[in-house]
Amino acid sequence: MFNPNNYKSMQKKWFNDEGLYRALFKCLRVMKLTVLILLATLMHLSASVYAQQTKLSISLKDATVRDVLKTVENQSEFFFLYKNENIDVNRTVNVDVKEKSVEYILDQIFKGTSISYEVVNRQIVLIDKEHEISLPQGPQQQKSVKGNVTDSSGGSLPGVSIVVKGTTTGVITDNDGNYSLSNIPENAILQFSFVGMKTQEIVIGNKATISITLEDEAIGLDEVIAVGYGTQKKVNLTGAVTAVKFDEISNSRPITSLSSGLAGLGSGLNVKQSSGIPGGDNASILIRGQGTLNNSSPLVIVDGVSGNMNDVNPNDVESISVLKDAASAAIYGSRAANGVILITTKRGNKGKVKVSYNGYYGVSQAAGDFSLISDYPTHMELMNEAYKNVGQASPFAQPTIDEWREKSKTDPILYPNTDWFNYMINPAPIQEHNINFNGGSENSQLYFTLGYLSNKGIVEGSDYERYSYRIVADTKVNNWMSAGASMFGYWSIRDMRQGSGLTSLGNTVPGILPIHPDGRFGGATALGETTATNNMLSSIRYRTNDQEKQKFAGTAFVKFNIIKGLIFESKISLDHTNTLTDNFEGIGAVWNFQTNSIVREHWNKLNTLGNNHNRYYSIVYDELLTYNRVWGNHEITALVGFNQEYSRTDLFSSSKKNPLDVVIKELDGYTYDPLVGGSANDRAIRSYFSRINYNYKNKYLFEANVRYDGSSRFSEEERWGVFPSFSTGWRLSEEDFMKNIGAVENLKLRASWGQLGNNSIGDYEYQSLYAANNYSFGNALVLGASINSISNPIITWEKTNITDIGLDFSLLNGKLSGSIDWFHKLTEDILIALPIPYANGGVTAPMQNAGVVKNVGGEITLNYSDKIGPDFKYGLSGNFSYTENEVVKYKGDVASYMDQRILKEGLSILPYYVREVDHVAKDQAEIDALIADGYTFSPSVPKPGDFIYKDANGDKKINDDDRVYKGNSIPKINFGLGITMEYKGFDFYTLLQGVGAYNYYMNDEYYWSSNIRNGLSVSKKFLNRWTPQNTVTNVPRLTTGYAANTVANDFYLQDASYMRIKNIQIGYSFPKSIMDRFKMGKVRIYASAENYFTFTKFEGIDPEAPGVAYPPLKQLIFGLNVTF
Amino acid sequence: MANNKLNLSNTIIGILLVLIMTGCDDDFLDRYHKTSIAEEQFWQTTEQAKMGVNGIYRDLTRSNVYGQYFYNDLYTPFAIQHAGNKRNGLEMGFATTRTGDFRGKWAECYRGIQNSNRALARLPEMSINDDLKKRLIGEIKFLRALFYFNLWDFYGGVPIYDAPVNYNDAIFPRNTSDEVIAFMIKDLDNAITSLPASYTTSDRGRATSGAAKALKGKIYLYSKKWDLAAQTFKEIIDSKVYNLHPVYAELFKYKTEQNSEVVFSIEAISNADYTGEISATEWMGNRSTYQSGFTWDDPSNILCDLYENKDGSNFNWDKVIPGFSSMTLAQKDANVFKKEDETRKAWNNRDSRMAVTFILLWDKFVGKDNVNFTYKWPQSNSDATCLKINNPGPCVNVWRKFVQEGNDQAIRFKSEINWPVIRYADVLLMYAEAKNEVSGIDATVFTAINLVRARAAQPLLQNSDASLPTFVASTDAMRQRIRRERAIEFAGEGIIYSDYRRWKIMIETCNHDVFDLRGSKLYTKIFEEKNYFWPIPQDEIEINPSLTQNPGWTN
Repeated sequence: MFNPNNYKSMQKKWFNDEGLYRALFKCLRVMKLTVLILLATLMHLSASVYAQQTKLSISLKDATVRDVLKTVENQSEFFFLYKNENIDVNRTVNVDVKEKSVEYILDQIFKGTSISYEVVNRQIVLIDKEHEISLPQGPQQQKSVKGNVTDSSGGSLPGVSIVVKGTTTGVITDNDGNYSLSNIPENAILQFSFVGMKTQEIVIGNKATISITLEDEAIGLDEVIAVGYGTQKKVNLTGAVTAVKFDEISNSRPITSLSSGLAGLGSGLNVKQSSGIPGGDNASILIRGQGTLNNSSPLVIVDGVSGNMNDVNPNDVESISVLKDAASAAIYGSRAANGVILITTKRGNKGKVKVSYNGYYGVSQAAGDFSLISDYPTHMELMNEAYKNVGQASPFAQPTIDEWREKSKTDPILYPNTDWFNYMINPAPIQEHNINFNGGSENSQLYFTLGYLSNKGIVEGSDYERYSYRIVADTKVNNWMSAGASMFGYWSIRDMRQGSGLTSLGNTVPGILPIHPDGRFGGATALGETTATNNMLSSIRYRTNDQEKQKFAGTAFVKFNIIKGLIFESKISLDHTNTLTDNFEGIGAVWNFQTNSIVREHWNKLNTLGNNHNRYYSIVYDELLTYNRVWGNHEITALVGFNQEYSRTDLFSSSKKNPLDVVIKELDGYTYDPLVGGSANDRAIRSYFSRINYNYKNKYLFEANVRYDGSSRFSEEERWGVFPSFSTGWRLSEEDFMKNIGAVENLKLRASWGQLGNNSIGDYEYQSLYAANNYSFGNALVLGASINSISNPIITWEKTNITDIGLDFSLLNGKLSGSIDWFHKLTEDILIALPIPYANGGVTAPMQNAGVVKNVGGEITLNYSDKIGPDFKYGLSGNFSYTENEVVKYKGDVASYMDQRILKEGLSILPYYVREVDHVAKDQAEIDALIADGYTFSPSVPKPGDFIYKDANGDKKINDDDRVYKGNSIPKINFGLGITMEYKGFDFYTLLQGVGAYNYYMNDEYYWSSNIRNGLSVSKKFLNRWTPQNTVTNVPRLTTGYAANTVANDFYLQDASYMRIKNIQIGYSFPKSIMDRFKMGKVRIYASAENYFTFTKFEGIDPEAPGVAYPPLKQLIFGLNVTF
Repeated sequence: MANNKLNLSNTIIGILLVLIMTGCDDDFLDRYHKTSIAEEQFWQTTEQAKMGVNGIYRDLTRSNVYGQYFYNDLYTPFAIQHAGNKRNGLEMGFATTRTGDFRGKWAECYRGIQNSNRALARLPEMSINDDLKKRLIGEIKFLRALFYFNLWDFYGGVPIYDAPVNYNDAIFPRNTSDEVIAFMIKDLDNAITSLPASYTTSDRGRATSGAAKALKGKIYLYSKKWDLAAQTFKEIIDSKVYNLHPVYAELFKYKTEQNSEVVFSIEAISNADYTGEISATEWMGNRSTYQSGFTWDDPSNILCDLYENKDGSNFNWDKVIPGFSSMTLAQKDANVFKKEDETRKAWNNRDSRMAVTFILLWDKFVGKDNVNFTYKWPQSNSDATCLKINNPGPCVNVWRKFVQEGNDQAIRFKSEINWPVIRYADVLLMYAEAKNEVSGIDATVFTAINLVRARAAQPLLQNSDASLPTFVASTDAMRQRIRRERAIEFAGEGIIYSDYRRWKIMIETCNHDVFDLRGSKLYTKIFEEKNYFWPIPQDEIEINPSLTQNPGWTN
């Protein structure tokens, strides 16, 4: 028989262990944690004879039982274990003994009671014999009842506990959700409870069968979320943590990399996917803005081990927590300054094995267009105009242009007008399939997934395929030991011919035929066209470039319940990735079909094969000791831990030329010019950390963390750092004065402060290094060496101080919940490679601990869910964040310039610093007037069609001193809104996401700049350029290699704010009644559209990927989700 | 009870843990770069001392120092951009203070200087052979002076760094031109006394005392200290270490580049492990070279016309092709350049250096796979033996000097031909120039210039027979002859740009329209007064506001 009391009492039981406790802290002070554990265990071993040998002398009058026990504990190493409610420790007794054994004393004080004791080593367990008799045997009428328990989706629920209310009698449901109880009174009430579900009570009455459906608990007060090295009840959190909802809805989206799937899902998150290229479409993430001038990516922890979130199959994600403030992140100390993203993956559940399948098939398209001129005669005329405008010879003769215009109407082979964007970019299929098995017995559980993703790129040469797996096994060896292991990995094949961008789309001209019907590739054809211009198709087809990635990662842990509440966990993790790249560059020609001659052969004289191998591995050890204790209204949780990580990357590259035949793709089949290269780098980190939580009546909450970290990236003197944090919470809703305000379920005020670190710099930055720099004498190579980059030996951690004040609430019976946060984040000693004087030789600048940056902002998260009628459920989940940043300290009045941006004290981080265009000069007269008025110009006196810049400082000298601060290079506003609706099996979801107060400077040569160049494409924007006939325009005249219109100015500065409907999906789940007939658990079909609508003023291809990148994709997919 | 088991297991775990943790050495966090040597471990052995110095030589090959020195001709009347291949807009008057080349030269010269300073700070303390140490220090001083010379030549007075400096403190103000001269002369005097006159083959290419003297003389010449210059060059001539190599063409061939004319050259080999890069073949060469050159710039008509006839008289198109100058573009195209025989009339009777320096229209060139190409006009894509240039269009001669033939130069952008910094012909012409200013046209002046002319088989200059085109009667006339001789002798070598600036004759010679051979206008060259010195890079002034900008340049 199952005794639910054993479970319940786990939390309430307390043991008095002051002796051990004292020893524990004494040990901590003097020795390493592990030594302590060793001692603790040795202590246990030697204790068996202790009880007989120890003699005590006690003399107490009218003392409580509690006092007597305490005295025993103080005089000896014994400690007592008992249930508070069972043992009356306030009873007064008299004791007067000399040199007696502990048994003698206990016999005395418990004489005449039902309490007995058992001595186990130095623990003494007190038992109330009366309580052991579980049920009073009365003359009531007894009966049996049985039934089945299901969840709201109709699946059977194993492991539900069913208790006869007011007794300890109960059972749990079996693998099929069935239960049966016998010998229970007719008037009894059955309580059905299960974690995460609402507890239900049913009066038995005369029913013999009671089958019920348990409902999910609405945003429950018992919700538990992952925090660093553990979990915590959400209501008791004192830090700012966002739990990102990542569930079936998310897995019904074509999320090919987990990071890009987070956009819009949590407050304080800025997610930017700057490329949609298959296999390289991961997003960069900022938490609460850019905290540093350096790498601002958050630390990602997957199942307790730092890793890359894009290695995780989104289907395996159980939960994602974003630790935003110092209080929650400080346990990760040195690398947590930019926040932490905790990903917990699914593990096996107890009960019947469930099999589920999730898969979709769909079509990808580009989310934007480059908008380049595809009419070649127009292109040639613009080119001529640009060259003429700067006094250079026109590349194309007018007859050539006229001929093209005329003949292209009838002969598109010899006179092509190729729209390269539409030719190269085509809808492509995408599909993903995942199947997983999940289940197990009471003691051992298994989970495994197999996944397949095929993402054919929208451009030839960018396919990606991935096979992934995850296997998790957990076992409980006995009641004091459990162990588990997980393995995951993938095998991916990526066609890298497309690289990461689409620059070759602009590096070409419309007057090239991609491919002739006979299979030859076209090249520059018109007289005057530069022969170097590209044929994008030929440069793809003459190559192969396959990247194969094999990842294997695994974790194994063992956990011991040393004594009640004290758990020790030891974990080892290994991560290993092999990346193999084969790169074949073939010889190939492009043709001029008009003259039927080769325009250009490939650069390579010989077919070349490159073979590169990149191996990465890391080994991580974690040792963790946690302790939890509740007594009365007090609860303490404490942990101490140790962590060390080592990782290393090895690179090997080789190439050889001239194969016996081009079909050969292995180096031994090549004959000439073998080249090899190799390098490696490694890094190590070692840490000690501790946390303590205390709460009183679940009302006053307190937490403190500290971490002590050493990093190989700093010199011995600078490498160790201490990172503390403190936080506190007050649950107002638990106060008596709030109790009668019924609508308020939870209201909590919290505040935190802490300091975090950041070391995301190169591995050996502090070391001053001599590297090979060979030379030759007498026509023979000699060894040479010199310093290629300057080092700074005194660099150390960046320190980020975060203060956070927040309010969590849950109102209207949990229908409305949310949180509001204000934060102040000050990063000091920022590590950045500041521009250094070129008099240092133009070598790579060293990292310096320079400057202070402040981020201040607010976040709000609101969730609302409700029902209309019995069948229509809906929910809204929105978040909004605003961050304002400022460079507090830098170099006084001295600024640094990065492209068109400026870094200077008192400004935000890198605002654009540009001249403002007043207008485009209409004619010479107005320029003459300005000159007559005394204006001077830099870099040159404008000509008609050039920008007239504003004289911002009024000195009549129009030059770079007239630049003004304008526009943010980091978005200040991030927001997201998810809407869900359900009606009788139908579900609907949409996600809106966007950024605000964000600008981008467009200066790519063939895409936007008014400087164009022969052989490169021209943007359609310049159809509205200044010409003598079109003088009223804001677009300047076309030029080539001309500086005056391309000095940093606001013509190129675009508002890149946007709002995007990230996802819309509609699903339908078939009714349970039908599914049961087919013995299926659940079947859902869905259609989902990703990235389909974007609202923006941005004129480029896509505000998220503003440069000449592979555009983000929009996808329309149809999917199926089955569980049985 | 399970207690004994529990305790035993816990003990084992505890012991294991202790083992794990004590097994982690204290140096777990000490991680060192895998492919470099830490500075503390460098400058210990003789080999390292040599390596450290060799590394400074390598700094000479950076593209803005000597790696692409040939570009300088583009800023003179003697080379023109090919089909819009502007280097940086300097020759067209629209370079700005942020133009990359201005920053590049500044940074790369200082790179050599700072590496020299680091070496000079460590070498004297090393316990290595004293003779070697002395020589190595001498080499560094020569190299440091050469880097300063490049800065001083292009920017005027620059900040002098003579010892290692913390990177944030590299914000010295500019020294005066005279201070920089004095600093260079001091370094060179040390080098002259420390360096040998020559090396064995395996060390050929290192700085010699002669190279240090020649650079010293050049600095005197550039600063118009004529007597000191003449005196220094005379010492070199009198030392008899150097001779003109008898065949001009062989100076620019890989197999014959090491000869007694070399005073100082940048060494180049086409080897992947040679990190230096003299990319002349790539940029000056044509598409028919083995590594497919870019024809980035072309010799100008002005330069081609400068080559004398074989009798020493000036070349004139109308004399070889009557009526040439009054022909239309189409007529020149059809009647002259499309016809090999007609075109050749202009090339046949000319200074021998012309055919060595250029691939003239209708010339042969042994290109990739040892094919004997012909540079035809117009070019034909279908003709396999027609020499091809990048972006065909303008009717121009193209470079032959420094362009490798056949299947030499295994690696793209890595030419095998050494880059001459100072050769004996330069010493002779510089001597002639200085001496002419000091003493007028005495015999030594004639001897010096005529040695160079004689090697090219051009008739000797003289002041006795006024009826001959070689007659030179005055200091002024001699000055003009020397200037022309330099332009011809050193065509494509980049040094004429420095000459024209020091002679202050850019404004009158470098403001004109540029045409191809047929007279088709290509673009306009512009030179303003401010261009005599390059601007201090604006980015550097922003980091180091104590730097003053050169006159005329604004941001």
